[in-house]
Amino acid sequence: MSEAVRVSGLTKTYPARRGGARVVAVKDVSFELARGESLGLVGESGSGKTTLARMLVGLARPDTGTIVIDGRTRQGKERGRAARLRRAKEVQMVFQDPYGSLDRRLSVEAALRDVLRRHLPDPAKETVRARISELMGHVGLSGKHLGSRPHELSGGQRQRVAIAKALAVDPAVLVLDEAVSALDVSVQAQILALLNRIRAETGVSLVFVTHDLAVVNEVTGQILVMYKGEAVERGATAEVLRRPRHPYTDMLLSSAPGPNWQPERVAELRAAFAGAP
Amino acid sequence: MLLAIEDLHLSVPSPEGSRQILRGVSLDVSEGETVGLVGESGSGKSTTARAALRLLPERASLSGAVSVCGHDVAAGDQAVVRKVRSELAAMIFQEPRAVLNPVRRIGSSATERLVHVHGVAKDEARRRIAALFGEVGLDDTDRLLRAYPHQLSGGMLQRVVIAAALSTGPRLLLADEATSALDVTTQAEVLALLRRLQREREMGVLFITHDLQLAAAYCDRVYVMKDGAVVEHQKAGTIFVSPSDPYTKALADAVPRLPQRDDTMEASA
Amino acid sequence: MTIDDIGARTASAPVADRRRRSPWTFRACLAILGVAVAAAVFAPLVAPYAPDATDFSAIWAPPGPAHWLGTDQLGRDILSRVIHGARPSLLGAIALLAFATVLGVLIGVVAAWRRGWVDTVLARITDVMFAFPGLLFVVLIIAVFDRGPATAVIGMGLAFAPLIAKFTRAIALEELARPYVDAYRLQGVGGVQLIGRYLLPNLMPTLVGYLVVLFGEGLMSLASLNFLGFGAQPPSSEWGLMVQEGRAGVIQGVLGPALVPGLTIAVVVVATNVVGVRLSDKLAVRT
Repeated sequence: MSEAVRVSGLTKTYPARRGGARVVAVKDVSFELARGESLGLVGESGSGKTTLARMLVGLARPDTGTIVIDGRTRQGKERGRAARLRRAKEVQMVFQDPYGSLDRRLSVEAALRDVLRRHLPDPAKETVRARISELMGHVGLSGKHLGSRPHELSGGQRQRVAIAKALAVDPAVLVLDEAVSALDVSVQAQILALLNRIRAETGVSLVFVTHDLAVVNEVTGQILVMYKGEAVERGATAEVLRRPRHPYTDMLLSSAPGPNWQPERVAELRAAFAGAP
Repeated sequence: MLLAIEDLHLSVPSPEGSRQILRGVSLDVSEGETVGLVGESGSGKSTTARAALRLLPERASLSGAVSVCGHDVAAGDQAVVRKVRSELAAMIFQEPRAVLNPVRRIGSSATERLVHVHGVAKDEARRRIAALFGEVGLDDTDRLLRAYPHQLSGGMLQRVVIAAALSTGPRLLLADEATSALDVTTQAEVLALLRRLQREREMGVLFITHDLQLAAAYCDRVYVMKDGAVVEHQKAGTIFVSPSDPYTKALADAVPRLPQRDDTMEASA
Repeated sequence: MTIDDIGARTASAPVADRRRRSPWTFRACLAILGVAVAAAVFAPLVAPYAPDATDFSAIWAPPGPAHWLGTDQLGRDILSRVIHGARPSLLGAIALLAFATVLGVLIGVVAAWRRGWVDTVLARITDVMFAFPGLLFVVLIIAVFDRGPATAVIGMGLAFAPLIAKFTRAIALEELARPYVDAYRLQGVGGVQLIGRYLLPNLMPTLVGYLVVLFGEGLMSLASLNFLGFGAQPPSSEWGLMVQEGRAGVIQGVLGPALVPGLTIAVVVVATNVVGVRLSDKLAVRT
């Protein structure tokens, strides 16, 4: 059995605004993710973590490098309905903004039915209905929300619907792009627990893209730290967070508010870091 | 006492009659003190801060006492409110980009209060702002004053906003999620800076945030709000250790945490 | 979202108050449009006379029991002519808008979807179309084809299309930037289906409000063309043409034949604007 994700030598550059050299967003990043495992992709804004995630799901095309998901090499130039549906089954994504990630015209039920009709091998009415209630159970929403439209739901409920829609495709990998950052902590905790449970129950592999190390600590086994487009540290989450090897990881950890947090020390570290080659 | 709020009730008309936003909030901030105000969305923490400047929702009805440096903001006339807003207190927000006019140069936005409210001459105002830019760790002030907001990073813009807020020498600073949109490293830098400025000027800071951990680490005392009421008030150091209210405890438990560090890096450094 | 939403909601309230006209104005305007549409549909049933029935014994008759709004230079009943004129006037504006919408939305959506050089090329084309006054288009088209209602509609349609294209492109870009569009793409939804089935219905509320306001403008532009004689030809009782024919009376001091259709145009245009603004406010509430 191959890994769920194998990425090697991924690079992406963007044209600079006014001539000049191209801006490197992601530079020679490689990693693997075993099936049913979860990976945290962390970094600050501009670290390239979001670009990496968008390449992973196919919303951006890498300049060089290969992405293998679920044993198949992803290619940008596939056309046709069958290829599109197959790619969909490989990887899905949940976005940060709970307000914009749902089609505001569709009720929860209509949105789920829309996905299922496209992706279930047997889209009969009963199978669709059974799968909808199964999905609602997975994400912890009760049947009374089926008729609700996005504006009638809270931020946390919308994210649950977004997760249900992604799971409806039955993907091998689910990428969560800052999916809990906009939520209150109590709601955030519920969603994280939910994702842990879903991973255990369905065996889906998770990639968490986030700036929040504590979130990564709660839900991932592996971690990849990005800095200026490069993967500066990789390893088991618990290990990296306890004993960071790269000075950037160390600085990120010192920056996170906690019992021994000293903003003055972070400022010193950062100044030293900016001065270093 | 810089800020004293006592039994503040606030309601706004709604289709069902009226909606209570604040239910008997009491809090205070003294000189040189950093006081945290923590709550989730809809808890009323921002409304409380805005009430200190009488920035109230339209048609809101208010009862209770609000005073800034001894001036009664809740019942005072326009002159009192203007004095509080222009001299005694200043507020900074989460999104510096939403505060700064995108088509005006930084220099023009940052000197606005000095020039238009305090009647300081333009050159003098620019000189003062330039000096403050130095204090908040911004160099190359000449270029900066001529720049537009879109040319600067979020961290730099927040420093600009802080400098502008400090330009009128406020006694009380209301920081509403002022660092929530920043990266953690930038957040730490800005807060280190804010702490230094606050100590130098003996300012009182009301630090509004959704982040209980940040409030506990940065503030002296912390108030926790829920549904328009203060449910907890404690020394920051003990809030995680011994929360008295079940809601605070739930909030503290919900906060995702980092593992204990092995401090090998520090030993080697 | 941790910012209390109270401030935002109240800050926008007074603006909404100012823009919202009082309900009775809105209802009155809706009623006016209802009457105009009813006139267009039921003209032969409700008009007291045929629109082309001449009565040489009652030329330029003043308003009276026989002719409520008087008669024109051929003794035709003005009320009947205005009622019958509703159909060509409204249908003309609808046809103009339909043609312009199909063209404009197509250009706008394709430009927003493809971006890059396609967007640039389409933007240049619409800019060029923008640069020509609508009248010039019509003159050009008349030079090739002949004058007539279809010519006026197509000419004006070409003049309106770039407006709609620019508007559509702007709202489509905003819509396409929303993550749910990416979510559809990741589900394997193809481009054509994404646009037709998901994007357009989400643009519709905003677009419809805009089109209703444009309808008034279209009605007026067509009336002007007809007034100039580029569109409908006698004996049609299209309103613009009626104003033109009524000019003869104005010189003689008989204002009715020109004033009545002129006022009708004005009232209908104002009514559509009021309804359109209100409608777009209501429909364009975004979540």
